[in-house]
Amino acid sequence: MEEQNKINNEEKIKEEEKIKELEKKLEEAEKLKNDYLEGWQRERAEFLNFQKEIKKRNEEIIKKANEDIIKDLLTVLDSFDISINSLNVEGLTPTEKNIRRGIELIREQMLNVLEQKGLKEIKSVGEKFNPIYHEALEIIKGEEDDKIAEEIIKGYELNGKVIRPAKVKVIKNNK
Amino acid sequence: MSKILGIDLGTTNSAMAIIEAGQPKIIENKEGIRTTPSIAAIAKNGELLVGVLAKRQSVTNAQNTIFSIKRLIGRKFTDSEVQRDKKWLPYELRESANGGVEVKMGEKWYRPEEISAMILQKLKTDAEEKLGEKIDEAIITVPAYFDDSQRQATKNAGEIAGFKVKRILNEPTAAALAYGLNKKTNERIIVYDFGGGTFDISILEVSEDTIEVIATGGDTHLGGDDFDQRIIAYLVDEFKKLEGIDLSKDLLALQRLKEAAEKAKHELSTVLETDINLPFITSDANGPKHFEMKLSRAKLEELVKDYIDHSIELVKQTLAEKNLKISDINEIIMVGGQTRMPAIQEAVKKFFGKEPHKGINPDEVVAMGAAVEGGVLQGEVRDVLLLDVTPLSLGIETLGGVFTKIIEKNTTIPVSKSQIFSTAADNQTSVEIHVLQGEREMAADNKTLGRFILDGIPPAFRGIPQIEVTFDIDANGILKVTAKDKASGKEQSIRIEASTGLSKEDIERMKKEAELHLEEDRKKRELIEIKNQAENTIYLAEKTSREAGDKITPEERKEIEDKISDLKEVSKGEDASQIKNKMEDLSLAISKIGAKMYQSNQNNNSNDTQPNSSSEKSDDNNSQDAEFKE
Repeated sequence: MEEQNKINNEEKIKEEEKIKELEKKLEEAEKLKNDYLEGWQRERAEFLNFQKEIKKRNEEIIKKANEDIIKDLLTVLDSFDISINSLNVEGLTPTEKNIRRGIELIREQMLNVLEQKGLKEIKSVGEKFNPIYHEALEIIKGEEDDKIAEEIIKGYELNGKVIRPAKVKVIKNNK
Repeated sequence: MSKILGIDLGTTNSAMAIIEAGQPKIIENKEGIRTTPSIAAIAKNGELLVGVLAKRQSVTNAQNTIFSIKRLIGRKFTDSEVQRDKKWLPYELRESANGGVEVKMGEKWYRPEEISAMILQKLKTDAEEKLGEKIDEAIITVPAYFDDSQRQATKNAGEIAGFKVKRILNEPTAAALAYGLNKKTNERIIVYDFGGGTFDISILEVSEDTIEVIATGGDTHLGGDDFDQRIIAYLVDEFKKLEGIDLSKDLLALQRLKEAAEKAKHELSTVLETDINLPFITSDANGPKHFEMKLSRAKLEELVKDYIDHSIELVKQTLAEKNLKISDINEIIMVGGQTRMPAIQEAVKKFFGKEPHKGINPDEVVAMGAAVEGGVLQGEVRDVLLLDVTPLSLGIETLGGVFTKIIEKNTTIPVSKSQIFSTAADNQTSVEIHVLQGEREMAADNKTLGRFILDGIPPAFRGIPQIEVTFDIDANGILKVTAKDKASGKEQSIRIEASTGLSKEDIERMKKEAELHLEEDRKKRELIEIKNQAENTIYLAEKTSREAGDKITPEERKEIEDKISDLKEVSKGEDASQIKNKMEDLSLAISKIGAKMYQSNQNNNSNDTQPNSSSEKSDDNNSQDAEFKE
């Protein structure tokens, strides 16, 4: 009888050990499963985020490409401004006046297209100098300190971003 | 974990980058620009301006606008460099209590590291705004010749700005990191850095786990800005010779010339000649004058030749100082915007007899390298899951022996991709799937991995059955190819264990061969594709002619038959353009008949809007052009 009990006990202990072992294995497996699941979820999330990022980046690239072209076109716009100004003299014949008007209209045409894309002229002469919008090329003496006296080259904003500051002469009061 | 910001704190411009998805990426500043002028100023109202805003107001506020602070940082006031720079810098300098330098901005005196800190602070704020997270750690780069005091002062600047400075990194080392050259061992690298205002030469020695600077040289007052000045001066001179007017006195003209000169310089890096057109540049008694000139690359190179020669001379000196020979240098890295100039690349290449590394934007390579170093530091703590890529493309053989790729090379695995194919002949009931690996255009030139047959496809006209072929590679690189007939649902598959089992040499050889045969393979494939098209057209023509029955005249039938035999004849040959011509002839003839039949159909039963049976099936739009050979 005692012998039997001993055997039973031994078997019980063995079984318990086995259960413990299995429990440990299960725990390990569960931990591993959780690690993998988490890793997979992270990877998945990172991928989805990356997709979003790519979408955003593509939009930015398009925007940037537009900006680059418009920036390059600004020098053409400058040439129009300068040519109109230099034809703004006395004694033009009616034909010459008409040609000047024609150039003015082409400039307007071009500006309209660009304005539809969000281009806006930056105000300068008479304004207070502000480096967000203006770049100082020269200072001239005068009364009203920091006021813009003259605009050398027009500045432009594109959809609220300064793509070229107005290049200006600024008044300095040497008091 | 928060990111480490890599910062190239430059003399004229600074840039910053982070690691994103394992790759360095430049971060734009608040103004949306990839570089930030290293300038700080105090406006009259006491406001602190940093970067491009400080630059724009510098003329109105020269005494309170601090630039080139890097020339002063960590130096003693009595240093000859400081004494030299003091002469031309428009702001005030004095000796500090401990013998260092102080600069005056507004009403206060600042140490150079405090000014640098203002620039770093702006970069930090802008980066945090862009990334939407706090950034506390940074790696800041310095020239290789900086001594301990200059390095310490730069580190202090970073800390004043609120960074924990993880490392002060040499600029040339950063450039080498950006190109991944730290993985090489026992190599000597020369870094040729031609920036806006300084020219630096550094020679690095890469060993098992360190990159050591063994020599430095250069000219701290030579840079791309000098090149611009030369061009402007030349343009002004030429105009003076031509028109007798000095444009340098005219602010507007000078501004336009400056922009045009910069643009021309950039353009001449890619084209051989550029037009500089500035209408109405000025005017005199005779009316308006235009500036019209062609500037050639050769002329530009002539204008700045002495600068380039001087730079090569300095390279020679630097080598000589360490008794190094040209052959001791294994790699060359080009840094700085001015190195985009082909003449500079050519001069360096000629001197070393070796192609320099380029490819990474030379204005950004240092910041990128600093970010890479940040990534390396973080990599020590982060568990990175390494994923394999397929070294070669995988695909199947299609009509005419063409290799159609399903999974392109360098695709990260595990991956699964499928494509729909169809049959090449009427009533074809089985297809053979021939699985191949390689980069060549023709199946026969690639390596066969296996083949199997999918049968039991219900009889149908060619092009109608839809057979989906799926390539699936699991994480262990085991490839499973499945073909499934969508109509019957029948499928067949094969498992290939050794899809990535090629040796490195084999892979390299296969890639090389593909490159070698690129042109000839492309031609071969084009010819086969055109032959396939021709065959398709013949099939269509025969079918149309058959179905047309007595709706067409015997003459018309004869014309089609003649054209078919013409096309069949040329298709035997190798002349793609001839096949194309004959094919177009035949297509034209069929469409004429098609139109006629359509008309007679309409006349017969005007309610019937069914498309003509000979017109192309529209529901196989999504199926591949390529078809299985029988």
